[in-house]
Parts: sequence; structure tokens; C-alpha cells
Amino acid sequence: MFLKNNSLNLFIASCFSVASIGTASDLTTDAKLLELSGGETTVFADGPTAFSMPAANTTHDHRTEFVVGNSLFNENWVAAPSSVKSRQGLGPTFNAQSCSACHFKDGRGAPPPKTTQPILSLLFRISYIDSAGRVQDVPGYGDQIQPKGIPGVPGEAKPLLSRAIKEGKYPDGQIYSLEVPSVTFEELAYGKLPKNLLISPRVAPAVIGMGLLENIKESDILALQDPSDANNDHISGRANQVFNVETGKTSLGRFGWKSNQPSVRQQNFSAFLGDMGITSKFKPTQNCVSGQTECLASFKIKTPELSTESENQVLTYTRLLAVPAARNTDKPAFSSGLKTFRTLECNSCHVESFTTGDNADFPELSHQKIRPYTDLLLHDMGNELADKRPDFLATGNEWRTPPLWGVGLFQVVNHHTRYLHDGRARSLEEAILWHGGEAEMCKTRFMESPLSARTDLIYFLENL
Amino acid sequence: MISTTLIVTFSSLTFFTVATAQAPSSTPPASGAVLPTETASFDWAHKSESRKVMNHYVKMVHQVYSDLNKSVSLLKTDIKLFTENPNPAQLEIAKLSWKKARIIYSLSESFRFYGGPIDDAKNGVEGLVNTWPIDESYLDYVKGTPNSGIIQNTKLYPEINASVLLEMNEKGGEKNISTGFHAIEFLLWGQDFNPQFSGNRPVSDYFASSNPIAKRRSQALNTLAELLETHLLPLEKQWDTLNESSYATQFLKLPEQQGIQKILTGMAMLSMDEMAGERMTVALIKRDTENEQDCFSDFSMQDLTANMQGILNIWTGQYGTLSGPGVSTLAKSLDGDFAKKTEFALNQSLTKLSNLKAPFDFIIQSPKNSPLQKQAFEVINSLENQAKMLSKIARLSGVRINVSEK
Repeated sequence: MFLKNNSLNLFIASCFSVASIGTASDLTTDAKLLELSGGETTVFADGPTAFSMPAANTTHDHRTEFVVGNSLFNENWVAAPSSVKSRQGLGPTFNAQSCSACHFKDGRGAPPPKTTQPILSLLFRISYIDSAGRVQDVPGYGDQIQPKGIPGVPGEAKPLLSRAIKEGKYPDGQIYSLEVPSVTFEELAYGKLPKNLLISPRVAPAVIGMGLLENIKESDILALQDPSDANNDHISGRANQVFNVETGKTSLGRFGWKSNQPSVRQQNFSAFLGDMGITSKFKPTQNCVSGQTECLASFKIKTPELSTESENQVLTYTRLLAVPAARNTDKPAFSSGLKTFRTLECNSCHVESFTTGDNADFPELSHQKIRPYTDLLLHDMGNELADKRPDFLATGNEWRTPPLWGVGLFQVVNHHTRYLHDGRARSLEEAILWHGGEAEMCKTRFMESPLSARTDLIYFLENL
Repeated sequence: MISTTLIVTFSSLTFFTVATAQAPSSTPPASGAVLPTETASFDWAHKSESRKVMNHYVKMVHQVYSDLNKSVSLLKTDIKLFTENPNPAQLEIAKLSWKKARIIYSLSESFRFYGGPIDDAKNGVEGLVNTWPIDESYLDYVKGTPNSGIIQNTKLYPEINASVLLEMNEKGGEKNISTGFHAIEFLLWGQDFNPQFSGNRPVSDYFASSNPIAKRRSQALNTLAELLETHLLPLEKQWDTLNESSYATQFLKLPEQQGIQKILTGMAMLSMDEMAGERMTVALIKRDTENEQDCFSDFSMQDLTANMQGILNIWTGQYGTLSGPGVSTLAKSLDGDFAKKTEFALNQSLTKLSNLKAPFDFIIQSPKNSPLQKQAFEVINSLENQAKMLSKIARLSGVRINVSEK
């Protein structure tokens, strides 16, 4: 029975996998098509504001909501009560005062260059395993460290980074070094942390193309799953199934480093509360954990601090932030890098393209041929990258394949080249070298490639 | 009464300066990013027209930045004179210099949005000279928090100097601004709580004898003026065709369609994203005076008018004593009727803006559907309309820009 089932699975999975490559991805080499990362939404920009533009095909009404949403995204929130009614309600505990503090210019955060500098755009999710083996929120702290507090409310803790260097060598003899980060917490304001604490550091990702990813058909994502690696390519890929706050049901996870958010809306209102302490329709309660006396006693505004109107404006903004076009797609190094990307099978997980589904509210985002280079699925990335902290179905070793569009522009927009969930990789090359688990084989193939192929692959990525 | 006087002063200033200034251009595709060239009947004659337009454009941009640098140099001098001897008359002189420089900067803003010298990926200074809206409490005291800001924080910033102000600019959020026009504006005017008047910072804020923070404030104000000058100076050099390694020299080597694409991108993006969007729609929809661009000096309407004049200058090819082929020349050769309609639309926008005679914070706070608000939304429509028309001209030239025709 077992064998029979297994072979049946194999058969079905292979068919699926072939079919999904046919419908979802398209291995084009046409320089013009490769340029259009976001289909008709693509903007042509590669400067400091490359991530800050509305989709090129944005309708008039959405453009109005977009610009207002943009101003809310940049707004510095202040503690209530304040004379500035429109943006009061920060905290009581929080990570940042504005969305743009971490997603600066709608781009990507990073750990500070020196470990002695303050941490701005890297947050820490926490949990612990209780005596019954269940994953729980941490008493006194909840599921995230908010290092800051409004006047009178202590911030929860101060994270301290440290870094070690690990050296390695390519088969051709070239030496490389990787930075291995670790974190501890000081100035604990709400009691000791449990011994078996699980810490998940997460850098603020770029906010581009979110509406397009949201509009990828669920069936296209699920078709890419191969949880038991039935096709023997060493790549499994699992969808996360997460709690949907709006419906109260379980939904496919698409956003966040572990695909733990089902929609742009939920991603937004969760970040408003979790990161800034701003309540809204679906998150009406301040996140003061039991035992946080000053937090619980602090002044509270009864109504949601983020009005539904404002929430919708931010939603339109985050859905329509455009993906910039790929650059230099007609250059030989780009074609060669893309070829290597395919030969090494990076695109097993960084799936090149999809056609988005229909969205009556956002015709801009409908039926777009996009090139996000992600499958939105979870993959085991090995023990070295693991945070060991489960998140819905995601295990401590699993991470969502991050999209690669715009990956070459972080330096221009955000003045750094830090990659991966905690920003430990100091370059795209290091990011590849950190790949393990399911991606171990791809990484090995990369390391065994000649220097010229490795260089072209990096060139390709830098131009996405 | 005072407000009336102020408005008259603003208007005459606008008229004077705008009438002698003009410019073109924009930003998104930097470092030579090329928008896809579509097939179009862009023939030899159009190329020849485009070449003339590009040549003249470069001259105009250079002239505008040259004028800008002169005005910023004066601003720096007047700020120094004021802080050396703080008195109401010197403060007014410094404010007037700020306005003169601001008008020329506004004329130059259509040279943004295409990765030219003002905002290219590597050396662009736009974020250092013009970021807004600003959280003024990041820099100095505000109503309700008398000790806020970098200037008051002697512990974290024992010295106020260029490196501190530069390092802190945009740190921890896009509204955390410590350099540029609007930081200077705040230090000259202070917060504005009255829709009829501009901000009224007391001169005593700069009396070093009675106020220990005053010296730091003076230091900040002078440093900001020096930084503004330093940041803007290279723009003039970059647009100098006599300089072989300048951006202007490279620009003139671009294929015609790419040159035209950049010029139109600047005009259209300024119209749509900046003027209609960020500068007018946001403040009017949110009914929030904090989202007014020149919220301390009440100079936003003059800025907008100068922005529009700058767009028109590129269209007509006129700026001060400079006169030559503008974008209209090319547009006429592509589609005469449509060129006429576009010219009409551009002039309409300028007229409508000029007719909107009230401080912008007063308009923001006017009742919904009041004549002033209706007028303001008409301006927005007019600006959006012209942006779409410029997008069509781009299409007729065989290129695509980041502003949709629809």
C-alpha cells in the first residue's frame, strides 16, 4: 500500500510539476520581456525613489488614494493625547514611529553597520516552548520585542547584536568569509526571558509589488508544492496556512519572512499594531502583555487610532507601489547570468514568472505577466539559517522564498547591500553562499561554477 | 491687514522672478535606464527637431541652476548677517532671500525625475535640499514640547555642525529632516498656526546673550545655508557643455528619443506625482496643513506657480533672455492640433494657479465645496490633464514615460 501510494504520488506530482512550469513560469530570453518585472505596472526607474512610484497603469481614483497613503506611510506617530489628532496613538510600546522608519523609501531595512549602533529596521519575534512542548508567547513580552515605549512606559528590552566571522573556500581556491550574527537582550523591563527562548530576527522587506503577489492565483502557488519531494529534485516547497483575522478562518500565507500573513491588509494592520502600537478595526486592542503595568495603565484612545479610511489609503498605497523594470537585460552578461540562474536551477524556488488573476477592485493588478522570482512557498534552508521558531505551519528551518525583483536596487534606495531575513549577508554572493537545506545542491553548483559564471549570475541579480 | 500686505508681496515677488525664469526635466530612470522604445513614425525631421530642443534645453537648465546658485549665495550671506545681529529687519531680509531662492528652485524642479544630476542614483542631492513634509520637532522646539529636536539636545549632539546635520537627515524616517530648504524655512519662520499668516518665530530665538540654545540655533541655520550652497553648486557645473565630463555633454550624446523622453518625464512627473499628487491632493484630502509644502512661510502657492512656470518654460523654450526651440516645436511637428491643445492646457494650469489667491493652509481649511476648494481641485484636474497630454506626446515620440495617458 505504502509503496503504491508513493508511486502514485510521484506520478501525480510530476504531472503537476510539468503542468505548473507550463502555466506559471515562462523561460523567455527576450530582453524586452525580461525588463517588465511587473507587467504593465512596471515603472522605469533606478534612482533613490525607484521603489516609491505608483504602478504605471494606476487609475485616477487609486492615484489619489495612493498619494494620501504615501503620506500616512511616512507619518511620524506621536503618543496620545496630542494636539495632532490625525497621528496620535503611538505605542505604548513600539519598534518605530513610522512605516518609513524601517521601510525607508519603501525599500529594505538592515542591521546597523556596527553592532554598537542602534538597531532601527530589524525586529525580533519571540516565543518559547512550554513543558508540554507547545510553542507559546513569552510571558511579560508577547511575540515580539518592542524596544521603545512612550513617556512613562518602559520599552521591553534592548537587543544587542554580536557577529563572528566564518571563512570558507570555493573549489577553485577563492576564499570567502561570512558574518554569523547572534543576539542577546539587555535592559529587560518585564522580567527574565525563558531559557528555551526562540528568537526570529526579521528585517523590514521592500514593499514593492505586494498587490501583484497578492493577485497570483492560489492554485498556481499550490501547484508548485512538492512537500514530499516526489519529483526527487531535493526541493520540496510547502504552502503556509495561517490565521486570517478578517475571516476568522485559515488562509494561504503569502507575506512575511515565513509567509505568515495572508493578505496585504492583514500584513499592514498587524505591522501597525505590532511595530508601532497603532490600533485599527481588526486590531482594536493595544498590545500590552499581562504584567506590563505602565502599558496597561497608560492613556488609551477608545476608537481605532488608524481610521478605516486611512487604513484603506495605506492599503491602496502598499498594493500599488510599483516594481521597477529590470535593467541591462540586453547585455550579454545579463543573458549569461540568467542562463546560469536557470542551469543551477535557482528558479526551482525563485520561480520566474506568473500571470496574475482577476481583481475587480484593482484592474491595474489583474492579468499581469509578472516576474517576481519567487514561489511564495516555504523551504527548508538548512540549520545555519534556521531561527528554530515555528510560525503556523512553517518549521524553524523554513523560510519563504523572497521575491528577487528590485534586489539590485537596495544599494541605491537604502544605501546597503544586506540580504536574507536578518540581513546577515553583506552581498548577493554571500546570500547565495548562506543557502542550505533544500538549496544546498544549488549552492554547491554555484560554488563549483567557474568565476565568470558566478560573476555573471551576480550581474543578473544586480539588474533585477 | 498684515495678511493682505503679505499676499501682495508674495504675488509681486512671484511675478517678478517667474517672469525671468524657466526650465525642464525629471528623475525615475536614473543611470541611463532606458524606457522601451516603441515603434513609431519618428523620422529624420522629428529627430532634427528633437536635437534642437535638447540643445536649447541644456542651455536653459544651465542658466536656471546658475541663477539658483547666485540666489542661494545671497541667502547664505543674509542669514549670516541676521545671526550676527539678530533684529526684525534683518530677519525679513533673510526671509525674502529664502523666497527668491525658493522660486528659482521651484522653476528647476521639472529637471527632476529622470536621474539627472539633481537626483541621480549616486550623487543626487534632491533628498538633501528639498525633502518634506518635515517633522519639525526633529530639529527644534515645537508647541507643547519645548525641549525637542537636535538643536536642543546638547547631550546627544554636543556640537551642531555639518556632519551631525548631514548624518541625521532622514535617519529613522522620511520626515526626520535636518537639511535643506524646509529646515531653513522652519528656523526662519517657526511653526505656523494661523491660516491667515505665516509662522512668526521670535527674533529672540537668536539672542545668544539670553538664550543658551540660540547659539546652537544660529550655528544650525548658518550651516544649513552653507550646505544648501554646497549641494546645489555642482548642478550648474554638471549642466555646463564646456565641461567635457559633465552630464550635459553626455545628455547631448543621447539618441534623440531618449533625450526627449527624459525632458517629458520631468515635466509630466512634476505635474502629476508632485504638484497634483503630493503637494495638493494629500493636503486637501487630509485637510491637514502639516502636509503643506512651505507650511512655515505660507509660500506654497508661489512654489506651485513657479513649478508650473518651469514646465511651461520647457514647453516654450523661453527663460529670461533665453529663447529657443522648446518641446512645443517637436510637438507641433508630431501633431499640430494636439500641440495646440497641450499648449492651451499648460497655460490654463498656470492661469488657474495664479488665480488661486490665498495661502494654501487657508484653502486647506476652507469648507469642503467652498469656492476656494473647488478652485483648488480644478487646478489638480488641470495638472493631471496636462500630465496625460505630455504622456501622449511621449508616445507620439515613440517612447514611454512613467505617467499613464489614461
